[in-house]
Amino acid sequence: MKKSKSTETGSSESVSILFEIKAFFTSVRTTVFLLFAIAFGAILGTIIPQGETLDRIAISGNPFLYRLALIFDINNVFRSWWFTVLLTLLTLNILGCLFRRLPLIFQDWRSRDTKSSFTLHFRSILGSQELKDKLMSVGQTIMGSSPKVSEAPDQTHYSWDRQKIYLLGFPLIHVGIIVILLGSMVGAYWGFKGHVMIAEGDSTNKFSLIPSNETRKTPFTIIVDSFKLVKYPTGEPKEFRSDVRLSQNGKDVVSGSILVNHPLTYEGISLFQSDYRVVGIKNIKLSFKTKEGSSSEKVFDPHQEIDIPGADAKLKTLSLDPGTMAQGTGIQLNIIGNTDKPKLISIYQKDQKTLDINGVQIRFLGFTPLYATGLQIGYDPGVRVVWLGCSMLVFGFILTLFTNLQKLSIELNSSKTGTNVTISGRSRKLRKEFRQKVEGEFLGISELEKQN
Amino acid sequence: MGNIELNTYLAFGYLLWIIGYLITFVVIRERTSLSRFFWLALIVLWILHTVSIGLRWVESYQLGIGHAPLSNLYESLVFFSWSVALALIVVWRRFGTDLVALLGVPIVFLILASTFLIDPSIRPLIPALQSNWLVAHVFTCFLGYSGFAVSFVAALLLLLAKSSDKAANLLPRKAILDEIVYRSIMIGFPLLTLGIITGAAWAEHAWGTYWSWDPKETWSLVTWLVYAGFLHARLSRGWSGGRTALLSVIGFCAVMFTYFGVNYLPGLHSYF
Repeated sequence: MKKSKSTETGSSESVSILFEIKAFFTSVRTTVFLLFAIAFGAILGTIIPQGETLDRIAISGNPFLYRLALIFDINNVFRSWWFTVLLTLLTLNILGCLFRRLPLIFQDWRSRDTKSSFTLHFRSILGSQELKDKLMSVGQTIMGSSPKVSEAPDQTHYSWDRQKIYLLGFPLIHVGIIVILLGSMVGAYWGFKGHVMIAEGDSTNKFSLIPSNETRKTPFTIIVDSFKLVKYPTGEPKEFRSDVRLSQNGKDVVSGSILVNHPLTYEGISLFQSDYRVVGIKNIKLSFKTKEGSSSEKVFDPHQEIDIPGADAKLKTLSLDPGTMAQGTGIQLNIIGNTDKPKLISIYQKDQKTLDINGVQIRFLGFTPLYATGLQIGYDPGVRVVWLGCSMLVFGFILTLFTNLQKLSIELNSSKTGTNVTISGRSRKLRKEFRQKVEGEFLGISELEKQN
Repeated sequence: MGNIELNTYLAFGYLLWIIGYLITFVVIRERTSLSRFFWLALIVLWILHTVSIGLRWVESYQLGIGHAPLSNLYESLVFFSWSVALALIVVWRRFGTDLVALLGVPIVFLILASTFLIDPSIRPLIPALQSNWLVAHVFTCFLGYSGFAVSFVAALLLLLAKSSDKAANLLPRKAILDEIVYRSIMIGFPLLTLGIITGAAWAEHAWGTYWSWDPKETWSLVTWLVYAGFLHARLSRGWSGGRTALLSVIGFCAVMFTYFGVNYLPGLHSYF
């Protein structure tokens, strides 16, 4: 870095510091450093378990880890102060580089000939209009458009450019990245994410925030009419579907289904299918077979007390065991006979032996579970900004990859002995190919004599 | 013949190709006409590979659970090896470097052979994978990865050429290798970017968060950052040759970790 040579220390020192700060923010060296530093930080975030609370690290008995967690938030890398600082520095650095480059890009856009990547010198004894026309038409074949012409006494200048839009690629990519980072900040400050568990038939307008677990309210009430779990014949889940209604001031405003990959959005707040749980039983199905051979089935809800057909007794469900035993799902029944004391009996879906009550064989056929659906609630006003940034990024890449800026200029200087012709060209990509093409075309003109 | 059987034959086809070409390379110095034969053989293998992917697609519809064959580890490995083979063919055509293919096809073989170790059956799509974003996401990511794979191969050759003059005489010119290292990343990087963006769009759609720092997401970002570093070092800092080749090797290690290593950590990408 340059040091000021001036002997006046005060102001020149501050000038040189300012200069160094400016150099830091406009240098690509900084960009490369920051990219690798962020990569390193991100790797840390995948190696060290994230989301552990400080208290738990404190009792884990590793004081060094605790201190690291306290100062560097290594238990929460992606929300830590230093990771945020790195991202902010990257944003500033990209901005700095953009401001440094933009005037050059603008200049390149406006003028047809700036710096060239190759120059060819020719001499011709012709000084006529014929030579001009010939050179111009060759240039036109290469570039596919008519040139910009500027003429002065004894001097003619033709210049072409092609696909200037290529120049927009660089700023679009870099502005795109800044826009994405800004969008993520908008989301982090004004957005929220939460989760709620609602049983079928229930409704609520409260949910808990992730990760703080605080309770918040939605501006509408979520009513869950039903939850359905569909499986493939192979047993893998095929569909999780929550049929919900949203109501405001007692009136339904929206109704629809929420599935994985199919959220429901109202007033900017989206509801996503996240998980489910069995919270109870809707009904139970039992079969009964009497000694005489007549069989029947009964479907009843778990609180109901029912008669056992053919036996002088009643039964009632006490509890359900959703399949922790090898025999599958089981229920505990309370058998209430007229004479005996109430009996507690467990019966499982996969039992080999049937249950016998006063000669009636009872089998547990199945049950319909009562589900609670887990919905994720998300609000992120920054999402559109992020997608805007992504679009800019993609569009910038398309321009950079699929367009190419090419410039060609021909300068003729006439003198008494003949004409000096200078041809210079520039191509942002495929430089060699462009140069070969230009050379090939112009070397083929017999009136031109190549000079070194 | 089913696609799984075809994939087995294909793996052996690639292996035969490698052995055949290696023998030719060692025994016969003049290899122009044979080189042409192996070029055609590689294209035939790749076409069969394409057929195999198409066949699996058709078979999934016959099973009544039709979906693009990009939905689990087996299918992604088959597709990854397909796209690496494609990239090698493109580079061979563009730069005339058969050695890059000779070193690259073993990667194709290894990826395809690794599918012998895992369950090849066609499974129905679980709810999280039932999205059109799946196809766009997997397609762009793996095409990008294949660019990085080719860059990696060229980078290894370049590092080899730099370490010994004897090797350098046998290898393509350093300038060409350097060009392949750079150009492949120039193609791979935008594709990876698109892969990350489509993945983010999908996550937003399915879970309501476009970015949740799950290990796979984070590692894909690490990969992206390494290659972004590569491009800035090369384009603005004037790095080339050995230093950028080393970055390309590091980048491909990050790709491999993103693809395989992360699977052992819990996260949203547990199906790949």
